[in-house]
Amino acid sequence: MSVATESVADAARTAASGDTILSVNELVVEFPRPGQPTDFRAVNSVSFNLRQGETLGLVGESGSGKSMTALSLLGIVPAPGKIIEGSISLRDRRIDNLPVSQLRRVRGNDIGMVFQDPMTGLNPVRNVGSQLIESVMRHQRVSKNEATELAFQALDDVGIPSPRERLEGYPHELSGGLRQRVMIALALINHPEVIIADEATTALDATIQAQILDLFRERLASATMILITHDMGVAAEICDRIMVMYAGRIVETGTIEEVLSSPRHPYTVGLLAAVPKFDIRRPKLVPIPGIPPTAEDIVRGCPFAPRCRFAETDCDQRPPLDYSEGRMVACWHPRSASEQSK
Amino acid sequence: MTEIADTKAPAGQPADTQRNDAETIPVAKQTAQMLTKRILELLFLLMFISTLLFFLLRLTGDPAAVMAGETGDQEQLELIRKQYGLDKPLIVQYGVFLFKLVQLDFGSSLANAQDALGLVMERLPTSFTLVIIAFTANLIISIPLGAWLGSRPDRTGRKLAATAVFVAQGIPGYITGLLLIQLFSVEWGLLPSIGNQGILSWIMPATTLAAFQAPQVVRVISANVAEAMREDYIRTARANGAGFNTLLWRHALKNAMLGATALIGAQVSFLVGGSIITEVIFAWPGLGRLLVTSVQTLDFPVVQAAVFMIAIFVYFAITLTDIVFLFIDPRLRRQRA
Amino acid sequence: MTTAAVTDKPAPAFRFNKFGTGSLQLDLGILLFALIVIALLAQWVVLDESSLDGNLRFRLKGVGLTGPDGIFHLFGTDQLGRDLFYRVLGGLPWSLGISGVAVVCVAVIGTFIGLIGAWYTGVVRTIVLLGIAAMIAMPFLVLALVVVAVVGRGFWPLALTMGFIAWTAVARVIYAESRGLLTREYVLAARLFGVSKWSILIFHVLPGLRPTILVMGAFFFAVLLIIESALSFLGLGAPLNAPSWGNMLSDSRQYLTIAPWMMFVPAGAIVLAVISLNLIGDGFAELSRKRARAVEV
Repeated sequence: MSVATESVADAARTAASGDTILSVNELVVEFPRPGQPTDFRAVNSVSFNLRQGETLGLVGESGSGKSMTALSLLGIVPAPGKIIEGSISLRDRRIDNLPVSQLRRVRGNDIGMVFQDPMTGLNPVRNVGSQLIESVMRHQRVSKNEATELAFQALDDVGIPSPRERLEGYPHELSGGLRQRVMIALALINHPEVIIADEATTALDATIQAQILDLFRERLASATMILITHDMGVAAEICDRIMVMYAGRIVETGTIEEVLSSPRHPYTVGLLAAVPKFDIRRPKLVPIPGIPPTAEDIVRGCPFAPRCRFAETDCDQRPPLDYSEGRMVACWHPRSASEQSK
Repeated sequence: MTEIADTKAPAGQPADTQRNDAETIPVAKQTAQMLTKRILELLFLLMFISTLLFFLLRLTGDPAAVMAGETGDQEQLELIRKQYGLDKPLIVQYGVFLFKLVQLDFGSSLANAQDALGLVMERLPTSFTLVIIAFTANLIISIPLGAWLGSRPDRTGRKLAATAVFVAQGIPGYITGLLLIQLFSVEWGLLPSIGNQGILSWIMPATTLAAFQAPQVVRVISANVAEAMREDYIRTARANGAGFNTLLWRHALKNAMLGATALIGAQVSFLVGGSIITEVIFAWPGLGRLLVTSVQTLDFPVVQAAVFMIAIFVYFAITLTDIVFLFIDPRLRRQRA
Repeated sequence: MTTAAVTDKPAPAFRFNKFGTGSLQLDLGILLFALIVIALLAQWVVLDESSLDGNLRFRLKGVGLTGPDGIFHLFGTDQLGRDLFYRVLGGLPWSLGISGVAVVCVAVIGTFIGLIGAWYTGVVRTIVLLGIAAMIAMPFLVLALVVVAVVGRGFWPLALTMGFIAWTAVARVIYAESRGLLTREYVLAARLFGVSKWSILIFHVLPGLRPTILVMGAFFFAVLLIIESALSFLGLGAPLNAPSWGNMLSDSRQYLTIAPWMMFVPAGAIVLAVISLNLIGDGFAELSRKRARAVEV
C-alpha cells in the first residue's frame, strides 16, 4: 500500500461539494447538578448540518456550550457530563452511539480537532514526532518509517521550518505559534473529513493569531471545518456560515455576510456592537450588561431576556429557533434588517 | 529617533520560529556540572559530620573513661590518654584527626582491634545488595500499582485499594518486619528469620525494607497520575483516538514519574535508614547492624567509619538516580538564560 | 421590562457536612487524635503508682483476663506481669511528648533557615543551600543513632537531637515556597513602602507558608514518632524500663511465640497514632487544595 504523498491540505478536498457531511440533531449534553431540581444542560437541543467544503463558525461566550458541542462530536465530553439526547451522524452514519472502540477510529481520523492551548496540548516529555507518529500508526496501515515520513510532511505542510529536526525535538523548544501549528498538523495528518478548531487562536498573541488564520485560509480553504470562537472578528475572517450560541442554544444562524450586516438576535446585535471600532465618532465601548447564566442557574424562558434591551413579557417563554426573513433566529422579537441602529 | 532593537529572528523567517529560550545545554556537560556540584556537597557533608562527631565525642565526656570502661583506674586512664593522644590540646587532636581522615585512617575497632574501615567495608556489600533489591522491588511494584490506582480514582475498587495503601503507610516498616516474622517464621515456619542463610532468607528482609517506602511511592505516583490524566495533552491524545491504556501507560505515566524524581531519588536515603532496623530485626550481617552494635558499645572508630561510608553510599546512589533522570526527562535539561 | 428568567444561585456546596472542616480525612484524623489526647490526659486519673508494676504471678497472660488481685487486663500482661493497657497509656506522654517537642523544633528551625535562604542571596544563600543539600542525603536514623548514643538517653536529649537533625527536609521545602512567595506583587509593594525585612517575612510570607507548615508538621510528627520508637526499640531511646512503645516492642521479640499480644498491643498503638497524624496531614493538604481551587474560579 503506497503512502499518499499528497499534502494534508489537499486531503480535505474531495468530490462535489454540497453533500452534508455532518448532521447534528437535537443534541443535549447534561451535567449532573446534585441538590437542584434539574441538571445543567450545557448543550440544549442543538441541531445543524455541515456541508462539504464549508467553514461553519460557532460563536459565543464562554459557557455558551460551543466547546461542549464540539467535544460531543468526538465523544469526549468530560465526565460527569453526558450526551443524553439527540444524534450525530457523519455521512449518514451515526457516531454518537458507537462503542468506544469504534469511536476511537473516528477520532483523529474522520474528525480532527485542534484545541485551544498549544502550551499544554502536547505531551512535554515525548518528542514531537512520536506524538504524530502515534496517531498515524493507529489509523493508517503504514510502517514506522513511512509514518515518520508522513509526520515530516505534515510539519512541512503547516509551515514549520526545519521539520526534520523538529520531529526529534520536544514541545518546549517551540514557541506558541509553532506548537499550535504542530497541533494543527496532528489534527490533519490522517486526512480527516471534518476539522474542528476550538478557539484555536485564542491563546496566541495577535500577530501569531493572524498567521494561523492565514494558514487556515490558504491551506484549508476547501476543507470542511467548524471554527469555534468567541471572537466575531476571527469568525469573519474565514467562515462561510455562522451559528451564534448562547446558554447552550443556537440563537441565530446565517451566512457570514448576513449575520454581520444584519444581525437579528439581540444577543448578536449586542456582540457586534461590543466590537471596538476605530471610529472617533463613537469613543465609548458598548458592552452587553449583565452576565450569561452560569452552570448553577436554572433558566426559564429566553436565557438572554434578563440582559436584553428589547425583552417583553412573552420572553418568559422559551423562543424556538425558527425561520425569520430567510434565516434561523431564536427570538420572539428579532430585529429586522431595516432597523440597524443602536 | 531611537531604533527599537530587533530581537526577533532575521528577516525572511516567520517571527515565531524562534525558540522560547536559548539552546539546551548538552546532557554530557550538564552531567559533569552536576557531578562536580555533588562531589563538593559530599565533601562538605563528610567534613561536617566527621567534625560534628569528633567534637561531640570529646565534649560530652571523657573518651578515655569510655574506652577504659568501668574498671579503669587512674593509671590506665593516663595510659589510654597517651596512646590515643588525648592529652594533647583539642586543636592538635583535631588536626591529627583531619590528617588521618584524609588518608581514610579511622583507627581500629575498640572491640576487637581490627581496622575500623576494613570492618565496615566487609559488611558493605551485603547491605548494599539488600538496599538495591528493596529499591528495585519497591519501584517495580509501586509504580504500576500507583498508576493503576491513580488512573480512575473514582472507581470503588480503586478507592478501597487506596484506603488499604493509606493504612499500610501508617504501619512503620519495622513493625511490618515483626509482623512478617510472626506470620511466616513463627506461625507457619515458612521462611527463616535470622541472618543470611541462602536465598530464602533474603525474602523477608527485602520485603520489609521495601515496605518502608512502598506505600508512599504508591500514593505519590497515584496522585501524579491522577493529575496527569487531567492534563490537556491527554485530551489531545484522546481526541486522536488513543485508548485508555495508551493514555495511561504511554502518556501519563512518564509525566507522573518525572514529577516524582525527588522522591525516587530520596528512596535510597530512606531505605538505608530503614535497613538499619531491618538488619537488627533479622540479625542480618550488614553495615546497619554493625553500626548499631558499635553505637551501643561506643566503639567510635567503627562508628565514624560506618557513618562516613554510609554518607558516601547514599550520596552516590542519589546522584546516580539524578543522572538517570537527567537523561530521561527532557525538561530537566536546563537552558541558558 | 425584563421578566425574571433566571433564579437564584444556590449556596456553594463547599463543606462535606455542616459540622466538618470540609475534609473528611481531616475530621477523621482529628477524631482519632482526640481519642489519643484523651487517653493521654486520662493518665492522671487512671494510672496510679502501682499500675505499672508487674505481678510476677500473672505474667504473660493473654488479652481480657483478670489477674489474681482482681485487676482486669484489657490487653494482657507482659513478661514481668505488667498490664499492657496501662503501659500503652504510660508510653503516651513519652512518645507524644518527644515527637511533639521535636516537631516544633523542626518546624521553627526549618522555617527560619528556609526563610533566610530565600531572602538573602550571595554567600548566605550558598551556605544555606549547601548545608541543606549536604544534610538531606544523610538518613535521619543514622545521625540520630549516633548522636543519641553520645549525648545520652532521656526525654530532652532525644527530643532536641531529633529536632536538630530533621529540620533540613523542612527547610528545603520552605525555601522553595518562600522564594515563590517573595516574587509576589504584594511583597514587592511592601518593600517599596519600606517595610522592614522581618515584618515582610513574618506578616506577609509566613501566612502564605501556613498550609505547608501545617501539612509538614503533621507528617513529621508521625515520622518522628516512628523514629523515636525505633530508637527505643534499638535500646537507644527510652530508659530500659520506661513504658515506651518502642521498648515494649523490643521486649516482645523474645516472647513472640508464646505471647504475641505483647507485640500487637504497642504496634497497634503506634499504627493508630501514625494513621491519625497522616489523616490530619492529608486533611490539611486536601483543604488547602480546595481553597486554592475555589479562589481561582
